[in-house]
Amino acid sequence: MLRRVGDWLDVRTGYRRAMDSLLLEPVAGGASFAYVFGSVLAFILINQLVTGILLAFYYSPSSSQAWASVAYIEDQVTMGWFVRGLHAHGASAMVIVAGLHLLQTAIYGAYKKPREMNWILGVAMLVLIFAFALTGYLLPWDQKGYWATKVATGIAGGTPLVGGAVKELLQGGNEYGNLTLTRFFALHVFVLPALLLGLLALHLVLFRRHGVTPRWGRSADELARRTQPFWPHQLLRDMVAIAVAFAILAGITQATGGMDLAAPADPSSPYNARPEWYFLPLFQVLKYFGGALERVVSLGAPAVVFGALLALPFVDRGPDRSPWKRLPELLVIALLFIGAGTLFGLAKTADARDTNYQKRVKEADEEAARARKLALLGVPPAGGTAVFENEPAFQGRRIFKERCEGCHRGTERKGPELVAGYNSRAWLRDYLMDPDGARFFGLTKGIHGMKPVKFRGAELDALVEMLYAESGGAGAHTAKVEAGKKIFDTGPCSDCHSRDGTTTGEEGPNLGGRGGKAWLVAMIADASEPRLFGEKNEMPKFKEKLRPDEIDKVAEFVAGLRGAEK
Amino acid sequence: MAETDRRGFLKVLNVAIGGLVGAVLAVPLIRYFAFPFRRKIVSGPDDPVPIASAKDLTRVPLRVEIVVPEQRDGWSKVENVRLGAAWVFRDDSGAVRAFTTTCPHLGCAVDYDKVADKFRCPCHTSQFDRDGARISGPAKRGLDPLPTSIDDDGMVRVRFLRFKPDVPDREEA
Repeated sequence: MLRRVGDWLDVRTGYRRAMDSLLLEPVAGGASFAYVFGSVLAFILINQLVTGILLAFYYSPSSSQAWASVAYIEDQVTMGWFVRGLHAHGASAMVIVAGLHLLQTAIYGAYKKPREMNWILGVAMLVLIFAFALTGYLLPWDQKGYWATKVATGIAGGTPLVGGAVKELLQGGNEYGNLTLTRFFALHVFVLPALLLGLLALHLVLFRRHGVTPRWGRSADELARRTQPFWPHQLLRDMVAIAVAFAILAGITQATGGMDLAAPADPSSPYNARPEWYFLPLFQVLKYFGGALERVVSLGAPAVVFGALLALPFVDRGPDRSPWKRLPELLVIALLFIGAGTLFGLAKTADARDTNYQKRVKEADEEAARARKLALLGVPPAGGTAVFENEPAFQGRRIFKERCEGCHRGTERKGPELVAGYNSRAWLRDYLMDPDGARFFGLTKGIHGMKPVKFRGAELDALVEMLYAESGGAGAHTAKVEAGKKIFDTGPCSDCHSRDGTTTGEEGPNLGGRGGKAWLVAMIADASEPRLFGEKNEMPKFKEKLRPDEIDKVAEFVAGLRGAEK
Repeated sequence: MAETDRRGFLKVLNVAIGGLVGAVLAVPLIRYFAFPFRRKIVSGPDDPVPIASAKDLTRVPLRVEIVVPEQRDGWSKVENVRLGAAWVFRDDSGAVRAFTTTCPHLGCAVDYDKVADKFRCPCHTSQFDRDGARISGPAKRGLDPLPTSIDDDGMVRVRFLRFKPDVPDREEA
């Protein structure tokens, strides 16, 4: 049956011949594991295309939405962390395997006549791989990508004569913003893939035209005798290598939990920009040069490296492909790799020794974790750093500003001042000694019933500590609190106040739990409750104006004033 | 013969390894792709939304917008989002009723014809009476009612619901 369907299709498409000509290509000298790197690269490229397209199903390329959409992929979409991890680690795999492919072809002398053009195409594709990495790094619009890419476009801006124009064209205008992201996105998902696939097609056509470059030192007879078809012999080796590469890629993705996502880009924050690991050698080089020389090196170093690679087939033109006869040329390539590796190591050790940097990294990690947790609640339309508005204290502060500040802060006040330090020990002490002071009840219309407390020294300390404990303050001194309670109960305080939280009908508010979160909630909701200010109350009942969750957030904010910086 | 066998084995091995890599990769990728399937990606609080004061409602249907204080849409959280609209009025017994303006046919916004005292869909000319019952047109059922309630202070609240279009039996979407 299958055979008949195949026959039917073959008559109409000739697919069998096409497949044969694709698959039965002779591999001169026989299949070898030395030739697998190109196929592994093709596999990783497919991985990048597939995972890249899948990421685009959820990603939104705008400066307000990018970070939130990536956080959504990471933390909410099923297997999103894995897909993004495969894509991000896949980019590293591209660089590594491209490096191995380059080494293998260099050692085998595969750049020699007549394959010079294919070597050049390969080097051009290597440049594209780095361009992919550079443009992709920015797309999450997180701190890491934002700052690292700023450095990169800064370098491009340093190009003599055209630098300014290049930078503006790259970043889409005078500053980083929506157009930067849409440009990088368009380059990353349309322009670069089209270029890469085009060059890859040429690379493969030329490869088929010239065939593999077999091991050096073999006679034509020997090669012909041992020749095997690509399918299934070479493809099996390719397939094994692909399976190994995939296992490593998936394993690393699993083990690392995917790729990290830093906090949303914040132009106002300090951040220690570090590029992706394969750019670290260049990053390190820049530390050694300053001034005009820095520009020369930042653009010159990559130019020299890629220039050397491009020049290789034209410098090493002899027909002998034995590595031993080409030691100087191979040494140059080895030096490029060793140099890059050394610079990489230097950059890593410098960071490892820099305690300040370590501290910054730790802080950045904590901020990222905080931002991602808040993003689970939904990111406000402003996007990015607006995610921090989800913090209860932030919303509380906003509502406080809108609804409470008029009466509790500034010159037009009508009630006690609610600023940093409210309900701290110092605040309580000042209050007890001067309840009608301007900071306290000095500006209320009718609440002036309390006289300054006469206690001083240890007795005042004890009262302060007791009130501090009532407000739920941290680290209250138990013995002092007990002493304070005794003074409260036996002294003049208890003539007007209770401290059980329930007794009503007294001259002053019941002080049970005063200043604590629950008490603040009750005060904000309705301060005319009998156990609070009763009929003397002058504050609006906010339970009529705010939702319970909003009151809760304001209370949280006001409770937090105690420890807040002035 | 032995060489042919060997080749056959190699081919099978090839397909097996390739298939294994593909299958292992396909599972997470498909699950990732299907994430929104049967999931409330766009969602808001189901609480009834205040729309008008009961004393302002008459026999003549009033078109009101249903605005929820907060809506989740994928990664974002947007405040004061319009979900849709409703026709709200008092029926002959004086009870408050509400219909979603979404036509049960294919989802166009249904108008109210004051002169004829009928609801009409401008798209495919379905007509409904004040009770929402279908009079004519391609709609397969009557207008979809929305649950209403009245607060102590006389505020009318409507809970916005979405229904499957173009099916005879009313079913929440």
